[in-house]
Amino acid sequence: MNLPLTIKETQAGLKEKKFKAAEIVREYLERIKKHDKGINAFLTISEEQAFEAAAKVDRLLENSGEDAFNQYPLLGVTVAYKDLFLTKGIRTTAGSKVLESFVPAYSATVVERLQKAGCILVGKTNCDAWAHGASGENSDFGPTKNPWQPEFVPGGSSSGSAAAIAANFSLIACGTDTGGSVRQPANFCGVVGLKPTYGVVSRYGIIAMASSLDSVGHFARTVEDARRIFEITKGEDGYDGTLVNPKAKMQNSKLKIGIPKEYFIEGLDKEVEESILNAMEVFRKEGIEIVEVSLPHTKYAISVYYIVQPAEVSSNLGRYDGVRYGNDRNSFGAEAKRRIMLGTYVLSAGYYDAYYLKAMKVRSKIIQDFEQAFEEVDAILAPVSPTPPFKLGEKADNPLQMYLADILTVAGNLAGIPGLAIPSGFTKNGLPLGFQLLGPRFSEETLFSLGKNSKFLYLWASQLLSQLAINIMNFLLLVRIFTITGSTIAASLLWVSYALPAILIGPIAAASVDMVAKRRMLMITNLLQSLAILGYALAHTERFFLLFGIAFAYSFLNQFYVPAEQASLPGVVPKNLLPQANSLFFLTQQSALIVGFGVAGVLNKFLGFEYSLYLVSLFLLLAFISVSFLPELRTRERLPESFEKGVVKFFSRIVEGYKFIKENRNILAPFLLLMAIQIAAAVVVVNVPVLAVNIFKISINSGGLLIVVPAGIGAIIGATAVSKLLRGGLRKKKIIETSLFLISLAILLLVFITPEVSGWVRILFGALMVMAIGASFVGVMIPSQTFLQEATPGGMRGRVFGNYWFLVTLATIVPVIFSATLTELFGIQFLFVILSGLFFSGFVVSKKYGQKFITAAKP
Amino acid sequence: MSKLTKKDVEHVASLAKLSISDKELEKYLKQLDEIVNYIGELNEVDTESTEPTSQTTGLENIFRPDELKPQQSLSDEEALAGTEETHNGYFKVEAVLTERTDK
Repeated sequence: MNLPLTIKETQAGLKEKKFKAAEIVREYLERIKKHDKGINAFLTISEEQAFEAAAKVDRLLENSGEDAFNQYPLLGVTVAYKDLFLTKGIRTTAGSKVLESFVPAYSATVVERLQKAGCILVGKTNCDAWAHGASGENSDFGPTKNPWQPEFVPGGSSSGSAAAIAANFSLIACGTDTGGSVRQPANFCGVVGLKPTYGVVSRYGIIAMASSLDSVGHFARTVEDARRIFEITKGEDGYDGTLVNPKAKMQNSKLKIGIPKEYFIEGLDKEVEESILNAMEVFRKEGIEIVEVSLPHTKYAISVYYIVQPAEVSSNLGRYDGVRYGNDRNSFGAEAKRRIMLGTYVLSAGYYDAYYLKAMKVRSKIIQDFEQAFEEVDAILAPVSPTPPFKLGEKADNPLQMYLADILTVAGNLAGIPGLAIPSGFTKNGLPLGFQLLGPRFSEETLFSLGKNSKFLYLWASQLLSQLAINIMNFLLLVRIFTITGSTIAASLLWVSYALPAILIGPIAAASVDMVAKRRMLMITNLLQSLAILGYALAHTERFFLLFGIAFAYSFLNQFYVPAEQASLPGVVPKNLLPQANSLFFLTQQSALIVGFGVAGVLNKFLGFEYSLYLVSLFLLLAFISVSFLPELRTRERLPESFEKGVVKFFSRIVEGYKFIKENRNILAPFLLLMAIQIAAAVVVVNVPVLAVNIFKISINSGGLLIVVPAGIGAIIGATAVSKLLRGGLRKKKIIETSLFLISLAILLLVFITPEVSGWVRILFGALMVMAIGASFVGVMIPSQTFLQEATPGGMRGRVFGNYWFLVTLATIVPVIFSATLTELFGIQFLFVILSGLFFSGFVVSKKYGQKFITAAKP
Repeated sequence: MSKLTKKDVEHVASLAKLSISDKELEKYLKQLDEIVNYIGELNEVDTESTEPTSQTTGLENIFRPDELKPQQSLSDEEALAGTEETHNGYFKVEAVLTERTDK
């Protein structure tokens, strides 16, 4: 069985009865038994309890169905705890021989809460003894190995928890972060690691290391999952006196990220540095401002930490006397003894002021550094560790060298601020790379939203590249066909070549989007498109019909790509940023149209047809690479057993999509609006040559520059404005209505006023009107699209959007031909009067009945 | 900063109730000396007018009613479950006091 990779996938699978909780647990335990010998991530496997809990989950699902998920938000989620978390009745060792047979009489708050939320405990994970270490090698039960490459360390001290997620031994895991012990192993193992603000997640029942620094953190595969776990674990419990209930902070609408120059220390690995610079670019391109900040006392953080922390360690480990539980103090390992002695030394008479008090004062300076930085920025982006994972044994004999591995994480603990470690790629040797985001206290939500955005960018890059490719190719093929035949009918056949696949296979492609992982779909389509165009260019063929063939093939694949891209967007963008994301995607489409058509001519002239196609192929290859960085976005469904069943399933899904749209009026309205606007756009585009000659009174060739480009620019302006207006709180309905009204007005002005004025004023006025029309089209599209995405549940989006593209293409054919006929017979002014009338009635209908659609009850 | 001596290490080990062998003593002396020298760099920082920070929550004196909550307390058996050295429901420990020998 393919194990689900996220909480959402897990719960969707349980909901749809694709698997039972017991089956997931069996699969995880089998994986552990098979592979953990070489990794040593687990110290104790709680097989019996896991199956019991799983049976309970399955019973719950049977009895109360989907309601169970409301009551138990993490129902069916398997969890592994660092062996520092007390688990009632399950051995808890802290990775030390002192507690090798200790069985707690109660559970930690976090364990209790996650259990109450429906989690299934699979086992206790290995760690550096008492959480002392940065490599996992200090465990008294043998080191944990990095699942990516077993000769490397997984990082520490929460070594087993990070490795367990990387090796897919559990869906989520918990750890503690006193000086980086969640973030650094997450970074070394290529998973997401959250270190919350100090005092937000209870330390009750967690074996204490350094009480003023310990924070309880989480490991997951996605930022969203980390957020969901944190939702459950945070807040007061009546046991840990340092806890506060964090208040939700208003997020700045425009985020600013600081890069601390002091973190780019000497000895920072080149690949680590590059990955940080790449992450920076990713955020920058997302419109997030990046500024340099200074944390001048960073270099002292490690010294402060290795005074304060051992001091608190020596006090906390004082209780292990072997009387009430555990073995006596002779069982402490070398690192624990070292820290106890160091701590005792800095606290002892005569040295307290020189070391401990001094360290507490410099700690204040470090906190002030952060406070000043956070006055200017919302978050700080920094490397987690100065190097990628190092080899086992490399630093084992030199404690000071090992301590320096914490250099980039400890300051966050000293200041008590939250940090989120996010994977970003791999070194050329195949070891994980990543970065951390640090924010002011209680800023977890900002970190989550930033962390999620970086994935959105890969999708956007793919869209940009594939849009550029399609527009350049469109133009190239059009010019080619025109030069060969000189016939407009041939050119219109090119349009048919693009439209046919949409009608023939659009529905099947859209249905299949919900059945396979969307990321894989995006990757395959990009790659095949790239290869098809490359193949065509390499073939040096003069065959005329192949020009239509390549257009057909390209469009064929696009039937899979477009719905997958549309359906992926809500998965990688937080809901509140969806309108902005839609604007950006639309903006990209428009700019790619302008740039693509503009550039294609130049390319064709200087590079020639073939080399231009190579470039198009390269763009698509790059798009393929960028989507490969996306997370898995959809539960993998088992393949249908037989072809017949598969086909039936395809079509029943299309019917489901139609039914869903039909039955949900709140979807139907934006759906129809979107369709209408697309059809109108197609009609206007078809009439561009006539507009050029009869209205603008210019040559057809200049039409592109003076009509298509202004319309595109208008669309860009519209997209920016709409996104601003939405963020400013203006209602979507209001924007749609205003835009409908503006279109009906601008269309009339365009065809009746433009021809009457003379000289360059005519062209200027016409261009302005076209621009207004372009902007208003966007004003209808973006809010409608957002309505549609918001109102469509995750599992249905592929079907609904697929239906949309299918219907649009199908519905455009008749109006396009009909409108061309109208123009031919009665002139363009007649056609545009009708169009204007339609838009005006749209405006009236929306004013009168629109509210009904919006408030229509969801199913 | 003064260099760490063998006596220092022996002293802190006895304060922390750790017994260490002579071989360990050599090893820890070298390692701790290196670390103590490193952390001595804090002397460079001017902290004349800086208040020390011992915790970051900003909270002070968090009280709760002093009530017995039986359901939240451990039973005798549970409390004693970690050791076999018990006597009549108590932990058994080595004698702390010895008889006076100067009498």
